[in-house]
Amino acid sequence: MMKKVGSVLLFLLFMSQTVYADFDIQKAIDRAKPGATITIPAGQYKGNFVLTKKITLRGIQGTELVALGNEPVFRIDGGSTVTIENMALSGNKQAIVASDVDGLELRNLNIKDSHTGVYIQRSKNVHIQHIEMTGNNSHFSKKGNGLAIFKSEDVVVEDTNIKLVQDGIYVEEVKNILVQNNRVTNSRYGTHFMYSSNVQAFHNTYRNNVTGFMVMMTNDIYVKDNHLENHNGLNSYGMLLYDAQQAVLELNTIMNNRTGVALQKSVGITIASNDFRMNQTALEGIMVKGNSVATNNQFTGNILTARADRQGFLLTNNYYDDYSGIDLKNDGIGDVPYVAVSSFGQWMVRQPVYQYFVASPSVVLLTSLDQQINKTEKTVLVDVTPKLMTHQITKKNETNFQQLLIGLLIVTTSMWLWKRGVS
Amino acid sequence: MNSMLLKLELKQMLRSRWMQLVGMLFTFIFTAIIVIQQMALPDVEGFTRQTASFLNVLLFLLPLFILTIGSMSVAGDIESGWFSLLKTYPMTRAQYIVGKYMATVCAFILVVVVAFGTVLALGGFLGGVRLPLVFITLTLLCVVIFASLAIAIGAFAQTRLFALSQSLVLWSFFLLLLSYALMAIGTVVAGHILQKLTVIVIHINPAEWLRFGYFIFSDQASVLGPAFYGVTRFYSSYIGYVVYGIVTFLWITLPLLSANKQLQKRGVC
Repeated sequence: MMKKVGSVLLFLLFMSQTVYADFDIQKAIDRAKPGATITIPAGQYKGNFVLTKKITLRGIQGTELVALGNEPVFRIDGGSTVTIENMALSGNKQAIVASDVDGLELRNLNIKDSHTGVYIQRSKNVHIQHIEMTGNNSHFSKKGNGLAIFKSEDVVVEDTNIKLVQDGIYVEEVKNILVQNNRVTNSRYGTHFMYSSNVQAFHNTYRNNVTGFMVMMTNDIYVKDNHLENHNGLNSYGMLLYDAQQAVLELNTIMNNRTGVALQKSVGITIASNDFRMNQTALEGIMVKGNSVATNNQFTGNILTARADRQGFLLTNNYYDDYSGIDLKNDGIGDVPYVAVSSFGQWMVRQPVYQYFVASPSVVLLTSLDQQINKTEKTVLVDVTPKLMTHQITKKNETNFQQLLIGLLIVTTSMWLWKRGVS
Repeated sequence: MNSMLLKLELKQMLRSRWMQLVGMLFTFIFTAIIVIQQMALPDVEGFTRQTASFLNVLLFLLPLFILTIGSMSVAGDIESGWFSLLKTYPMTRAQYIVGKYMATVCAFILVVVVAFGTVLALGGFLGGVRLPLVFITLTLLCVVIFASLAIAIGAFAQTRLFALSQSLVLWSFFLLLLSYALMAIGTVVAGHILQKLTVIVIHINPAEWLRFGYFIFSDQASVLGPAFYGVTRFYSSYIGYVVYGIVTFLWITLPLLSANKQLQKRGVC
């Protein structure tokens, strides 16, 4: 009996070994004329493939390519109009490395077990679309980026879903890049822009990373309609702009972050019509210059609305849920300024150790006193035209009967106990 | 004898108009703030203004009520001559202190349960509120630690008025003055010194100890900032939990022992 079971197990073990497909991809690439399309049949292929000419590689459902050693699955050197689509890739170091390509299209790729998903340098007209990439649970320092793009121009990255990597989308020295409809979770930075210019980011979702957007030494930035949520680590930010110039951040939802948006050494930043909700600190500014302004934003449920050094930044026409002024003129604007400046907020900027006291009883009292005392403050972090709520949606709550009954039971029992104790 | 004293003390405490008013006030303020915050803001994980309000209502109100009522209860016994009567019973000083302590703890737990029940009932009617387990545990810890301190204050006080003033001083010292002093020191010393001083204050201030415990046990230690990474990491480990338990135990027992010593010195019982 045992012998039979052993034989069956051995058979199953043998059958479950990876079977590699017969189709020779490299031979097909070498034989193809420039501009040709190669369809790779379903199956698992092992190897490192090199592309140097105009070509389209198209997989079908079940096409899976695995790199050998530390070389990538695809190395694209030079050439123009290279398209790779519809396949699963895995490589030890990188899945795809592209250098000096003019016209690179990567579509519908599922990348796994790779240190870095896609590595692109010195390329133009790059279009990356529908990439799924999952890293691993090791420390960020041991992981690579989902997509890494260096020294390139005219790049579009859209509809990707990246998780558990170092930086979801890492961009360095790139001109003209559009990043849209991407989703990066559980990584270090959602998207990381360095030394780039003319950067646009629309409709992206970043959740549970160390920081959603990290923008450093970059200029001409337009960030619109993104969702930045749950960045609550020791040094987390929804969005951090360091040494950034000329940025517009609008219509973003920034929710439940340690710091919603932080500006450091940045110039000419406009933060408009964003929704700041439930952040520990909604807005932080250190050494901000050049008419930087936060306008028409909505601040709801944040512990600290804004903090800044002496330079501060301009607050105008924002809605603050903790504003206590009135509107006798009935023009939708509060009659007395909203003072966001607080002693504690400024101490926290100067000395990070003060963060320990955030929202502590002593600080809550101090901030309340500040709001009374600083009514005459006219310089920084004062909104002289705070908006009042013009309309509101009334949501009908549904009674939670289970909780209601438990609550009533507890109250009745404890009251009975109290009465019994007294008598 | 011990259970008889406990019953007697508990009955006296629950009968007290002051205690009943405090129970109503605490329930009203606690329920109002929690339910309003819950209704006004979306329910999200993490440390938000909502959880900060939870914590602050608890740390502001509960210690104040426990310290004043608990200390005046002991001081009142001495002042009114109740002790002289108790001396005629076969009862030790320790039994008196433990009985007094247990009665205070039980009475305030009843107040807290009424408040939590009201929050659940009203919150349930309005759509549902969350009362995290960490928060409930922290409330119980708050009661057992501050009740112990209240007994100690009462033992040191000569009169009820003196106990009241001592309680208010200690309350403001723990909740406000110590933090302000630390913040003021921080403006003239380097960050690493302020960090060390803050760590010391966490251990010598029961209000800070409870607040710190909330962040540790609710897995939100990152709120305290990177400067406290080492401390929070230690207290998030198993050894840290044990140390937290030991320090909490000391916060309960040391005031009771000092109360015993003080009553002995004063020749009571």
